[in-house]
Amino acid sequence: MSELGRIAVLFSLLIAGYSALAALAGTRARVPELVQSARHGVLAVCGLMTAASVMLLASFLTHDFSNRYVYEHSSRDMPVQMIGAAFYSGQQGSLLYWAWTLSIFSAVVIVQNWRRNRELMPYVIAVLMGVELFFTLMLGVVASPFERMPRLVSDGLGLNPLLYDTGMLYHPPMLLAGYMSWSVPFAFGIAALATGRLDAEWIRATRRYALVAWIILGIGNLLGSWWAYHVLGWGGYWGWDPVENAAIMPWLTGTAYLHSVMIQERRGMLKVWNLTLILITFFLAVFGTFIVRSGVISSVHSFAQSSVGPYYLSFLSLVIVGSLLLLFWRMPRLRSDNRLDSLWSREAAFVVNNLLFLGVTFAIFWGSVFPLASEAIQGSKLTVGPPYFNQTAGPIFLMLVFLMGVGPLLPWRRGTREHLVRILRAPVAAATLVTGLSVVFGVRQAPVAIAVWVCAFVVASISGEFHRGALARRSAAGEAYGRALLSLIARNNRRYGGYIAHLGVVMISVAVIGSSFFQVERQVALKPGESVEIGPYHVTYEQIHQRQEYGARVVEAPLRVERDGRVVETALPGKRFYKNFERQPASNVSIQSGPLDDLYIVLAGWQELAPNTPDPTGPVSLLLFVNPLVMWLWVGGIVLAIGTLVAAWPEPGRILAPATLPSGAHPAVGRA
Amino acid sequence: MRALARWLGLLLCALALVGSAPVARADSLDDQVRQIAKQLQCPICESVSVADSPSELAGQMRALIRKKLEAGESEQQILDSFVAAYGDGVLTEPPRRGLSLLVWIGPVIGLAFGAAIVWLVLRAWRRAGSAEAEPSGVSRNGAADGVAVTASLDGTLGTGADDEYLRRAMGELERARRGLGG
Repeated sequence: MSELGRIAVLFSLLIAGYSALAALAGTRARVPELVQSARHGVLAVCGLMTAASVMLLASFLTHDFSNRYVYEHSSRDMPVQMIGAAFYSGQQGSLLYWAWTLSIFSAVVIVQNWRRNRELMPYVIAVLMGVELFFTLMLGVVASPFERMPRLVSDGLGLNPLLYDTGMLYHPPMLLAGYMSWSVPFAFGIAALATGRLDAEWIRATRRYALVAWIILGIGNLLGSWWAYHVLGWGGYWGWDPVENAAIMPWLTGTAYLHSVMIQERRGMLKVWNLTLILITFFLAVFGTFIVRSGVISSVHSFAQSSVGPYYLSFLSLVIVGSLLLLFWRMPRLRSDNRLDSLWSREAAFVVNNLLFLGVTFAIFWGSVFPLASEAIQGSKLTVGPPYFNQTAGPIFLMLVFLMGVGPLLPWRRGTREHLVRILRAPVAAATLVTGLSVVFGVRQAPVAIAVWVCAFVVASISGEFHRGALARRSAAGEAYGRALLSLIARNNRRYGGYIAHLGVVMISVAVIGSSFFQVERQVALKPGESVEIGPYHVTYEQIHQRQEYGARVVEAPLRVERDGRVVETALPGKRFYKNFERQPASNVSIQSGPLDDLYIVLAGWQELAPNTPDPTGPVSLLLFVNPLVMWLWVGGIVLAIGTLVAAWPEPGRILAPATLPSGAHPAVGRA
Repeated sequence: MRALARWLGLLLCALALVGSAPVARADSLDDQVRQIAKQLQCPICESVSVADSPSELAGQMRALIRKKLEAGESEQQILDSFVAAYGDGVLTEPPRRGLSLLVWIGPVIGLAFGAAIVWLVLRAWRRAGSAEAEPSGVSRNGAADGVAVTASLDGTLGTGADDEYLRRAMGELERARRGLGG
């Protein structure tokens, strides 16, 4: 099986290379048969990579420990779904996953554009297959998941305990696919440069691909936060770890890209900038994959050092140099088609949007590389931790949230300050009222009050947009308010889907503000029967016990939880000890989640009667947190996804082309 | 304009009332140790504070913090003693002096630089010639114009700029859709 897998990867490598060259040669020499065969090559690569992946999965499921990768990442006592997850838990497997999903996306793009965008597609194929070539090269030469073990073994090492979690099933595949999927808009951008077709054609062709890439990467990041929250046990969901930062940066520049391409679509401006942005985003996406998989900046994520570094660096350099060369070559043709009519316009707002997104990306990048730089300069390594990122990125994010409220109220091309003032009155008033109430109810810190104001402002502004639109539809089309609202969204899905996504972002902001500023934490040692107060909760420790589960020894400490006098469910924090990983237990964090707050409890330590036997009468050390509003982080993520789905929905047929009636037919009698 | 000024004034008063209250400090010794340990980076682990690190060294550091607290040292004194022993890198928040001042200034300079470029670009746009200067530009954007028309309608419809116009435009669109056998 491993042999078949290895052969499949090798053939993919060859065919990807062939397709890239054939597409280029075919389009330059005007030989359509070559381009056609390149298209078929893409489909073939998809089939081969799928076969290779199936081979690896089969090796895992049949416990084929003659495969070194299977040996290192699984064992016989693992549950079936974890075995599936072990596929991408290591470097080689995750590279195979990246290359496999890229081959699928490439095939889909080819099929969807079988008859469209004829001029761009050969170059799109060349770029996509070029990237595929790079990854299959690494898979074939330095990071093969199909290596054989030198001797027979009966059982594998098993998975790192930290990965034994449902989060493992979702976060890595989403995040890796998120990185990978930016290859598609990037390929179209390069194609636009190569063909000189530099107007909005390439942007329209890739609008949905960019939205899909963006939401996959966004959800990948949210899933990572969720996983960190309920696995790592330090009470938070984002630690500004270098790998986390590497994952959020392409998403931030991708968000800037989504907005600024709208300007090029409507007004033919910012052409150079959009190409630059998609290049930066793709670069950061590959860079993020590199950081996660090479251990260059070590973090919670680096489970292996590796030899793929030089490959990645060469690829990244090639991408940068090649793209910049193309960009400079085409620069004369990238002039703006229009002028800015007014500073109080949506174009100007989108430019500020880009400035802030790139600014926050730079701040995060700066803080992430500074420790390395300081080590190189003065020998000792400075630590740039969460306090830096919270204080620099925080305010910029808040300004972006504010812009979400103002931007939609600005018209394209020409707005006036008077108009803006008039339309801002209601949201400003609503926000001030809400902030006032929040101060009355206990908000005392200025940053929090400002943040509350901004979030309320945005909610009011967006709600106003929905309301005005629905009212207009009601009076024009005679629909009831509810129906008007729905048809408003259906007929203007790009706009209102965007608004829904913005509401999701506000929910996430509210969650971040609540949990950052109002978190309560306590560390206590409790004997059986003793209790502790934290926030609105009263927690009583009962008695520690131990059990077996899936080849792990689990130690648990049941806690009775009461809120405002009423008993809530029993909390069960604990630790899991896996065979081969006795000194690295995984935490079972107890999280009781509600719309107002989460009660988050970690079992930090306990006394032992004898090795591996907890003392049922001894004290336990507990770490307790009350994390307000964290639930809204996940709810906001779902709303964000819904909004994106609405925005990406295929649009109802436009009424631009007048219909011609066959002779003799009667036009519809006017209904009034 | 007057109304706007009044609203802004109200807002500023409200903010002044709020002020910046100190974060509530933990009461028990355990919590105090944790608060201080959170500001220190575990020297041998990656990306973990002394408060969260499971390593032995971190445990020893936490015990040392507890001893110092019991001896009556202030938070700043304890932090300073660790900096003296391990260097500036032991703090999770880079100090605002020396080389590490650069890490704080970096984003400020970056944003200022970006803002300057944005300002120049916006100014250049306001002065730049329009599409008439390049005939090929017009034909290339011929297809785009059709989209642009509906797009700018779309833009106007959502702003509530003029509700009467909004209603009329909506009505015409609706009639047009119905008229085409929709």
